Amino acid sequence: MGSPGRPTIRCLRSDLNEGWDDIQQRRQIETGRLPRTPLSDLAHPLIRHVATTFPGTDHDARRENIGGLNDPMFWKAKTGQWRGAIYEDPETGQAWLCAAGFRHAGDAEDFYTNFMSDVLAHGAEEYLPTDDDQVRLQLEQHHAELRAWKTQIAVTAFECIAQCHDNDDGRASVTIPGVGGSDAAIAELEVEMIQDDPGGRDSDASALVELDITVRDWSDPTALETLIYTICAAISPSEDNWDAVPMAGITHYIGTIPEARIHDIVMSVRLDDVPVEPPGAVAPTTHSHYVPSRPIVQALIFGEAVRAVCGKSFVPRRDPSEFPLCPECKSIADEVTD
Amino acid sequence: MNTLARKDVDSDQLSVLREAIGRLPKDSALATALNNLRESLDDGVDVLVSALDEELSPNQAAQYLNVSRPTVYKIIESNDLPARRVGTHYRIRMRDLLGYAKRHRAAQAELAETFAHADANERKLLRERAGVDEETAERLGY
Repeated sequence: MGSPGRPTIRCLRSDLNEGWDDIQQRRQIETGRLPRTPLSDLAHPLIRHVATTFPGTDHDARRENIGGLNDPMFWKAKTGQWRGAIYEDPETGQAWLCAAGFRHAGDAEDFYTNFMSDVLAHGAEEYLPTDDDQVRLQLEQHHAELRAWKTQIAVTAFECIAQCHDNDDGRASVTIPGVGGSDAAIAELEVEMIQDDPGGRDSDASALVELDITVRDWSDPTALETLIYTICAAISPSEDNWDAVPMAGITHYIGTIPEARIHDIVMSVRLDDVPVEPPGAVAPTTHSHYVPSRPIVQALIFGEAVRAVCGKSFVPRRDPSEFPLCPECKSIADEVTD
Repeated sequence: MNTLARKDVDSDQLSVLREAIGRLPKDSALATALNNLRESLDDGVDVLVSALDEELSPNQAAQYLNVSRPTVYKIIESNDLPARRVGTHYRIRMRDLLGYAKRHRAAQAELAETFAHADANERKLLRERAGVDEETAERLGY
């Protein structure tokens, strides 16, 4: 399977009460929430130890099993004063930290002796991974797959921009793969870039970047929506820079991108220093705007877009008092004030 | 194209307008149109007054739509915005520009919503691919 050893949710919540290197993580678990981090990556010495010694791939580590337990068998995991019991799923090879204990000075009891007695008396069911454990693992794996896909989209968009920059006609096109590295393309991206000042010496200069996305695989509309904002976020993560322009019934996305940003993108492709992480979200408009008052309440409730007096469309999401007023809205309002 | 700027209409004139609207029959189309005009002015926006068949240049269309001139040409060439050729020039009817502007606004609103809902969209995509319902995903930290 390839996935490192990880704690069961029960073990995480009940047995790992102390010794955390990240208090925030511990607090989150205490309040009943699970962090978004893969459980095998959490900042606890025993968790780290288990992930390293049960990596899910071929290993040389010698292992000791808990004597007296055979069906199922449990491995021992020791680091510092921490003791753990590991169960390996016979079908998948996935290792689970099922129980853990810390040996305090003066403790008479031995973790493994206690664990063994408990299992012999009551069975191992309580300790084995549950459906929740399996589902959580799947969620983590799919999450990682989606992140990898978004990263790939960003890299592909960068490469396309770099090609536009190099080509005489300022155009280039690339194929965007489907999620999970499937062979089938989900869409093709054609980009046309118009640069008035490619050297970027004028600090105010912007390039126009027009995205034409041709969908090849319509089966996953949720993924298609992700595709759109991921490409925009990769090129310029600012809502203010993007316009949606219908052409032949299809929406083209036109970005007004500062030349300095184009330069950075082209350089990162040339230096093979392309993104290794997915882009962040497209940031909302960084100005407050004047909007006719009637649509606002509905927009706030339903997350709909409103149109400001300057023409900008956006979904109101943040407290306007925290942002500088849009200069265009201001000048329109100034004209109105008697 | 005539722009009626809000700043050119003082409050006295607005009162006269309100009064005139009040004197028209209730279901009058003229009253409705004037009322829309009044509301826009009340909201502080400038109003465009134009004959629907008035013709505009691509430059004027670009200004109205707030896009670049080359983009207007592309829109025309994609047949999304009707335009007639007069020699080397295009002329665009006001009614056609308004029709396109409405589609433009709809596309802009949709994009704004796509950006705003990205987080929810992504959680949904994860659940769909993992085959997990919303309640379970939330309980398990996603």
